[in-house]
Order: sequence, then C-alpha cells, then structure tokens
Amino acid sequence: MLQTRALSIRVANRTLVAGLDWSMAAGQCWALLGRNGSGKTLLLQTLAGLRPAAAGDVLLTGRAIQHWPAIERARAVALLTQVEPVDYWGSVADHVALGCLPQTEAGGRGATPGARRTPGFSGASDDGLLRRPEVVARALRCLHLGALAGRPWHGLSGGERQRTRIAQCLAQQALVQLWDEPLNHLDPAYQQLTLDLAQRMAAEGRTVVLSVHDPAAARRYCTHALLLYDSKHFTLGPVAEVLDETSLRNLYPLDPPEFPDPPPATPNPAL
Amino acid sequence: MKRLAIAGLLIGAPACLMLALFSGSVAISPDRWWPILSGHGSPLENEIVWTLRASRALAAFTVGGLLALSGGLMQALLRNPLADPYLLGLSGGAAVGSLACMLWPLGTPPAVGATIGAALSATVVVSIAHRRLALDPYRLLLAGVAMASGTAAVVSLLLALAAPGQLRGMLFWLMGDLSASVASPLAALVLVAAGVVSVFLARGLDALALGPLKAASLGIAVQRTQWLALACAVIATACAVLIAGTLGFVGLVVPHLVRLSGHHLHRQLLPLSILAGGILLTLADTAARSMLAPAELPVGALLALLGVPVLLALVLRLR
Repeated sequence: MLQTRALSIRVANRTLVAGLDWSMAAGQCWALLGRNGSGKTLLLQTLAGLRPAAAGDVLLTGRAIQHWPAIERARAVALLTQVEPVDYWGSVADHVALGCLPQTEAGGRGATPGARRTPGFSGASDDGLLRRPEVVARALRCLHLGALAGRPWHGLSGGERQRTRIAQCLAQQALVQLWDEPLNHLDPAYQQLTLDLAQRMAAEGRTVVLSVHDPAAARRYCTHALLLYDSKHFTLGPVAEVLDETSLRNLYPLDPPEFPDPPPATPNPAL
Repeated sequence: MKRLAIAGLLIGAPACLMLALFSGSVAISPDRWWPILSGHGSPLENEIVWTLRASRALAAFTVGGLLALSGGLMQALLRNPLADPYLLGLSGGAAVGSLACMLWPLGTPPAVGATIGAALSATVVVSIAHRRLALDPYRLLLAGVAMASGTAAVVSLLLALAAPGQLRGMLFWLMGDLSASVASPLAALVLVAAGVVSVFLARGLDALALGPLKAASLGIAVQRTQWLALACAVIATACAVLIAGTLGFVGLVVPHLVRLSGHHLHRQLLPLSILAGGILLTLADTAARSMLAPAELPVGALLALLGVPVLLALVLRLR
C-alpha cells in the first residue's frame, strides 16, 4: 500500500532520517516510536505527500506520491496533525464534516463514489455509496461526540478537540491513516478507545501508522513497529520481534537526571 | 435562527434601498411613493429620487458589500478575527495618493492617485509576506500593520502641509464620504464577480481555518486558494476606497455579525456578509444625510460611532 525507498528527510541542514526502506501493507497497524525531535512528525508529513523528501521516494500503491493529484491523494491518505489553530469558528459537526471534503469535492452531491461499505465505522446507503451526513454522524458516534455535534469547536476541552480531529480523519475514509500522536490530551478511557479504533481499521484492511510514546500500547494494539534511534539507525518489523527490552533501552536510554538546586536549609530572615 | 437571518437580509436589502430613496432633506410623503416608483412622479421628484438618491444608495450598497466581502476573506486568509480590508495598508496607500493629488493638483484626479497608492502599498506588503510560493499570515499581518503606520505618518505630514481651504475636503475623504458617490456598474460587476469566485473558494477557506498543512491533507490547493482570495479582497477593497474613501468597521464587524447568526461556513458567510454590509452602509448613509438635514454628517464617523459599541459587545461575547 505505502512504501518508502531510500527515503531521507532533512530540516534546517540536519538529517533526521537517511536511507529508510519501509513497506506498509494493507491490514497492518504500525507504531512509530522515537525520542522527541527524532523526526516522527516530519516522516508522517512526508509519507502523506505534504513535504518533499530530501532524497528517495514515497510510493502509494506503487506510484510516487508527489505525482498523485492532490484530491486523489487526500482520498487515499488521511493525516492527523499534532498542532492546529485554536480559532476554528464552526461547530464540532462542521469540523468533522471537513474530513468529507476530498470525497465531495469532485464527486459532488454529498456522495462518495467508489467508497464501498466496510464494516465497523463506515455508513452506507442502499446502493453502497456513502452519504456525507451518515459518515459524519458515524464518525461522531465512534468518538462519543454525538452529544457535542452542535457545540462550537472553540469551546471544547483539549481532549474533546483531539477526539474531533480523529473523527475528522475517520470521515475522510482514507485507506491509509497516519496519526501523529493521537493519544495527546486523551484520558485513559479515550486512549483505549482510540487505539481500539486504529486496531479495528487495520483489521478492516486499512494501513494505519500511529506515532506514540507508549511501548506497552504499541505492543498491545499494533502489528508492526518502526523505532527511530537516530538518523541512520532504525529497526522495523513485527512488534513481537522489534519491541524487546534491549531495543527499548537503546531507544530511551536513561540518562542520569539533573535537578534544580535544592532550596536553602534555613529561610532567609530578610524575607 | 439561521433561516431567520437569511430571510431578514433578503427582505432588508430592498427595504433599506427604499428607505434611502424616500429619506433625506426633501421630505416625500408616502402617498407619492407609488407614483414615483411607477414612473409618474413630477420632474423634481424624479430628479431627487432617481438621479440623486437612487444612485447614491446603490453606491452605498455596493461599497458596503465590497468591504464586508473583503473583510470576510481577510479574516479567513489570516485566520485572525481582527483582520479587516485595510490590513494590507490599502487604505493608507490610497489616502497618501489621494491627498497628494489634492495638495499638488497636477491634473491627476484624486481617484487615480488613490488607485496608484493602494496598488503600491498592496504590492509591497504582499511581496514581503510571500514566502516559498505561499502567503505567511503572520508576515502579512506584520507587514500590513507596518505599512499602515508608515502611511498614517505620511498622511499627517500631508495634512500639516495643506492650506486651510483644502483641509475640509481632505478630512471628509479620510473619514469616508459618499456625498459625491454615484452608482458604478464596474463596482457592481466587481462585487458580483468577487462574490462568485469567493463562493467557489468557500470549501478551501473552510479547510484553511485548520491551517495550511491540514488543508493540503484534505486535498485543497492551498496556494491557489490563498492567492485567489487575496486578489478578490484587494480588488474589492480598492474599488470601495475609490468610490467612498476609507470607511472603517464595515469589513471588520459585518462578518462577525453574520457568524453570530450561526453561519460559519464560507459558502453562506460570504454572500450573507455582502448583503449585510450593503444594508448597513446604506442605512448609515441614509442616516448621515437625514439626521441633521440639510447638513450632512460624514458617514465614516457615524459608522465608527455605531461600530465601536458593536465591536465591544462582540468582544464581550467571545468566550
């Protein structure tokens, strides 16, 4: 489904990823693990075709992603971004409905030609074509947002906003789902719900890539993992083979902590 | 609420134009309205209603629509609720060009000077904000503010150099004035064309509210949407400035008022803002020439008096 060939990513004269060969098949759920600043976000943006690679290629169903027309690419690949502006003026349902843009932009009339019924999240009419209001309603329900549908988006809490963003990715109905830190701001119950959803989408035949910081969650919910140690060193493969004690110690080495100076033993009498 | 707002604006537009036709320094009794409308008025009545008031009312409606459309586009483009049509320094550039022509008449009409000034100002600001083929909202905002400050300083110098006899005309132009305005088919055409293009851009503008990266991931051609929206906003503002000088608050306040009625999506917001802006300016201009008739108040000052409390009320409603 999605593949990289000798992919390199550079930012501000710094190489974050060099020579990455990676193949993500339909039905696989990948965990992307790495330390802060290791390039996970830029890698996902490059996979989504929104950022040029310094070298190498990203192939979507065998064709270089930069050669896909923007609207076709958006139908195939959904990206959950980490940071978005906070001043969206519409409602929660409006926000989620933006996910349907790639399907409605050329197809028109709210129909999503070619999008066939898949079990789980997708809504379908009798002729098998997905209808926009149904898709939005189903995406809202999946993230337990039905009661908030009419609420202004800017009045939501951080966790509710994150669930809205995930629901928007569901409404996009893309076969490749790239989620950058989907667990941000979510409480443990919604973290589990989100990971369940990702797992189920992969089981339905989609390709899912999650950038996460929790190895236990990656072990439990993902089929495969890519560990970014540094620009030239990475490990990838099935979770059971890749995520072991040694690899995690190498990925997250425990440096001796440094703490601020302790407070003085006796209070300053002048204060 | 949403349907009520649409109905109110659709009824309000012809109603405010009617009010503008029959209000003013010369009173026309209601029993004469129908004969005049059906073409059976006296020559004097026809002159007053059709030649003077209708032309001015249509000019006011067009300018109000242009400014409100431009304001809505700029707020979407800059993702900033305080953006208004003059943010690119257009009004400042136009003011410098126009006042310079009034001060040193070299055969160039002030309108031509205003056009040249507005175009130069917008070119400088957009050139600075242009980055890697896309527009950077923060650069656009900062360059626009800097340009507005610079042109304000030049305007002050020009006013200081002006003879006392020239000052009144200059001040009225700066405050916004429709007294010499006539309906312009070209401006109406610009309004319709910019409105139609904006409606085609509406989905892209909705997605741009989530930032350019997310919009691109949804298949939006970000740069094309930004450039077309900016071009519509600049042309609409320049047209409005040429007809009526620099009228504040319409472009800033009207899109917010429309949003309050629940219309957030740009395919509704922008056309409804055109109607609401037209209605607001037509009513304000009618009030400006009727309240102390035969004396006439500058409509820009009246709009500011109305606009400031409305804006403050909006700020109080935010979060």
